Amino acid sequence: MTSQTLIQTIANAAAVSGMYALIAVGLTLAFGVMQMANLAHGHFFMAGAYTVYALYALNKWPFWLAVAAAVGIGAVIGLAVERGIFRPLRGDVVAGFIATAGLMFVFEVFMGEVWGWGYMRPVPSPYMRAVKFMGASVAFQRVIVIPFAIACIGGLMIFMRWFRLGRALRAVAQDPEAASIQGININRMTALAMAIAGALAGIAGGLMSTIYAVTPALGGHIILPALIVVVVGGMGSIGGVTLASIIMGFVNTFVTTLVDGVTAFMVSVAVMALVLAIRPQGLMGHVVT
Amino acid sequence: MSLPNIGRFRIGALLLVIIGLCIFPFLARPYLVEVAMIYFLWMILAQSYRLIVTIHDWQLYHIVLYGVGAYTSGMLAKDLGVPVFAAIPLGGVMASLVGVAITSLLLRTKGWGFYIATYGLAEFIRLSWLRFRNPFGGSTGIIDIPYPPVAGGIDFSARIPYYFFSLGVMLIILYMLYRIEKSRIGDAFKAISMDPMLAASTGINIPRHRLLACAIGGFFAGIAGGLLVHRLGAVDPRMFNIVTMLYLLIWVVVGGTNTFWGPMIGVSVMHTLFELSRPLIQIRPMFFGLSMILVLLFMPGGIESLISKAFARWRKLPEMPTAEAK
Amino acid sequence: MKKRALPKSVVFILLVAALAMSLALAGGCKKKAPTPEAATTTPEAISGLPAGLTQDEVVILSHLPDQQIGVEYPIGETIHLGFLCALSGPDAGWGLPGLCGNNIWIDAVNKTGGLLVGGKRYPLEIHAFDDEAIASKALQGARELVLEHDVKFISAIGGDAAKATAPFLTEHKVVYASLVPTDCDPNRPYVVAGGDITPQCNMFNVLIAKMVLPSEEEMGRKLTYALTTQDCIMSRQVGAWEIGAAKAMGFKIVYEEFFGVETTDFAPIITAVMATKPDVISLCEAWPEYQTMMWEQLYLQGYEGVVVQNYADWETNLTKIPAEYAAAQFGIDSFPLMDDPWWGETSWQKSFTNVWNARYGPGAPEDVKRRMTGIDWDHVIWLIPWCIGAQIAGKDTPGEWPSNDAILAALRAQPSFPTVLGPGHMSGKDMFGIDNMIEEPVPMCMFNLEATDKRIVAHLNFEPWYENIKDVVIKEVEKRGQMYYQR
Repeated sequence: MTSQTLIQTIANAAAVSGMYALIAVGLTLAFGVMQMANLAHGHFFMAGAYTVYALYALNKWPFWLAVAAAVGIGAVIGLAVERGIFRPLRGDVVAGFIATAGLMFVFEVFMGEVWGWGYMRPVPSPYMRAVKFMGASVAFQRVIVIPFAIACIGGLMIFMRWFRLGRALRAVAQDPEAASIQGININRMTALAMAIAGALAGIAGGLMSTIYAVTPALGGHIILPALIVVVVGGMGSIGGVTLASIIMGFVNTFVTTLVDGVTAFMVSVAVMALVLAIRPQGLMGHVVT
Repeated sequence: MSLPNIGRFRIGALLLVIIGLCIFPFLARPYLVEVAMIYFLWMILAQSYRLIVTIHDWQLYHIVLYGVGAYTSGMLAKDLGVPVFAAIPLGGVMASLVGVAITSLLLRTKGWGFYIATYGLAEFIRLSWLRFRNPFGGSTGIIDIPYPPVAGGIDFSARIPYYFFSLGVMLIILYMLYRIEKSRIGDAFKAISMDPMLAASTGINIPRHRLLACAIGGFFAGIAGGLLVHRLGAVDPRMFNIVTMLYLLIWVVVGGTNTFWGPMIGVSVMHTLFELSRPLIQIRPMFFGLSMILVLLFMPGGIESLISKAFARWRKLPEMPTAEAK
Repeated sequence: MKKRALPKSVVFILLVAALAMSLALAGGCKKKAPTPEAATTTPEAISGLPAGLTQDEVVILSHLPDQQIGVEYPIGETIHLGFLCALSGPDAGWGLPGLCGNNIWIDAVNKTGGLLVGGKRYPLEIHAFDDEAIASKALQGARELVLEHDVKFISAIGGDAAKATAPFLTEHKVVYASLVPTDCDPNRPYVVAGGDITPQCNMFNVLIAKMVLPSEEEMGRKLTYALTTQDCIMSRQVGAWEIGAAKAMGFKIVYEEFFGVETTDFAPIITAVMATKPDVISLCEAWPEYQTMMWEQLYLQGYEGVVVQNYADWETNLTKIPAEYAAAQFGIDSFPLMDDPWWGETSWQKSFTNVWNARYGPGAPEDVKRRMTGIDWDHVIWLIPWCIGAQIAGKDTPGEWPSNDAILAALRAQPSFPTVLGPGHMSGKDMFGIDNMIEEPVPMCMFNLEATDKRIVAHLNFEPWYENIKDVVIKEVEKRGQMYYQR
């Protein structure tokens, strides 16, 4: 690999790591608080992307306003799913996960029927240029994901540490019974967690609608890399997600450039399986009782 | 259920169904005979999945084992000239081995990690079929897989003989699963599914029984794969993806796993709806996703619980106790 | 799992029953039957013509040698046609739009009472089956189409599905019209192709690229060629022919890789291609959404060379890259627009466009919410000659629908017959071992800055050019195991 290609690949990998982090952080939060993995998280992401498509591409709203709308829509979807599916099925691990799998189908068909199957829905790039740095050239649209990822992750960590509501969330994540004895309303906390998770998925989808091909299949494509990052990092651990997204981002990008995409996928999946077999709680997660 | 009339009623109903299935191919349109064979395969998959589910957990690699059986049987028959009737059970063996390997790797993993890991490992296997053109054929898959030969004067490459072949295999497998359920091993399985800690304290070796269940379930899934591939003559990786696995999940959840008959009811009802809804193929997944959610919310026991309740009411019997699944 | 009260279960049963009933009802309503009432809105119906038939449709039907519009003949049985493609999922782009073109043709024919063959008018009916681009599903679909609906002709995309369905369809003597001639094979007498003039157009990409680049002498070195596209059977087949042509034209091949169809991130792939410093990058058969993402990366990573491909979708691409970039890299492809001024103000293509807009365009009764694509007319390229062949063969079997053997023989006997892209004839023995391919003039397009879209720049005849290079080409195709006798 020439040094030029190496620098470019590093740049690609850094951008991808930022993207993974922003996508996965909502998933890990939901898991931490509810002990349920939301398999439909990728589809929330897709809902955010379609929101920006519908508002910005079709109705010519300003881009950032459309992204803000995506955040709102993500939060609403998160709340609805929590109320309708996660709350009645709380504690039933299998049922929750099967139900979210069913939700995946529902979302996919909805998007396809309303906006069409087949070709991707093009979302014009509001910033159609590249950032050039040390000979490497990365799309501006990708580069701005990184500060957003940092802001969201940082904001979440601050919220969970310094704010009462955030600490309540952590309490529920650590020990729901003890938390409810303390007077914390579990239902409100799970609703809050899902609202935040949905909002995060929405902003990720909205921002990345210009990067990915917006089709009804998008949700399904996104969930597996997101799951891998969450599992490797430790389900429920935000720090873990950050670390894992960097690792998986680099692994994926380098293997794809050096070998090919299918091998990269296989390697990622193998990494995840190994982590689960050897250290089931992930790199920075807590042991699940 | 120890009342003799119910036993005879059941056997009578069963015989009726089997006779019906035997007459069916001679009366129905050829296309429907092909569809029926697909039903048989789903029955085998659903019942073998139930075995694993009740003892162990809802793994997500079952359809890939179906694929392992298909690829193995197809490749043995095509590339190594193994006779089809031998290749199919060998495919089952291979699937069983893979299932056991995955399960042993994940014995320590529980909860979410387990589900996601089974999904991941299943994808890994499927991707290796996609990645390696040699020998798996890559995205194209394998074609020109041999049909079964003429045996005992009957040409098994023809539709009706193959129908009876797959019907026979399905009935044998269902019978074997039923006998396992009723046997001492089946009792051990039941004990583990109802209360693992209590079972362990009576000396039942839980991991060993789990692996046994996975081995048996995997073997039958592999056989189903062999049956599939020697009828179609072709196989490719996309047939065994997560979407197919999720459909199997829906069929089994909707049917219910508490009794032996649950998954079969699920397959009968849901797969029929699936085939009928072909004109609406684009929105079909939404209906199935919704039905899964509704079942989980309002009828977690599945259709079988409805039937057993209705049955019990009709006969004015106390309802069958259903084990709390978790 | 927790137990719930019985009444909700009753609700559920009612829901399932309602679901089943609505599915069954809707299933009945959604059958694709020809609807002569779904008339186009072009104003003038010519007097003396069957009701609802428009002037544009008359032009479209003009490819038939003997339709005798307006003359009454007894009506024969309905002839069933199949449409076996991906109708959902990422591959649907090559399939679903084709139904539009087929429907336009079929409805036009049915408005005249039916296809006139052997003294009878046979109405046409099409049945669609979604094979999701999966070979085994395609086989299931083939079985349903033939056994349930008795179809005689199937429009399809080809590739894996062609392979898997060939034994069954050969047994039932059903014509399978693939888009790609590389599916043709002497062991598959009923697989025909030519809608997509692939790989001829891909090979011509090489020629046009060479024409716009400085010569070897000027560069002081051999020109370099890179090929990157998704790993599917079509790409493998077509890619082999294209590389062969590149070698024959004196290019040095510096990159030839196929990425997995699950790929969503094209940045590393383009990085890898550009690392080999190619003068030409070919996206070959890249699916519509991939080629958009690849163009975006080429622009962002600053590629400065010629880009060629089989099918460019400028409407989508220009949301990601500026038009100037597309023009600077030439944007060569070979799927012309039907409303390209090249065809002329009154032409078959213009009429087709008018009918399409009136039926499927913005605000039309069956608005598909997209522009007309190349695929809209890609499948009907074979359907029309099949009808032509039926009319010719039908003269020998009056009162009876001719067999597919007779239809294909009739077509092969014609020195020339009209096609969507110009006068064509049956060919292919050299390249594929059997004359099952329609050879028509190949329209080559380049991106045009003024029009901000593609425009035809040349209409080329393949066979004379191929004669000169075929030895080199066949050698390369053989090396990759893609000749018909190797597959």
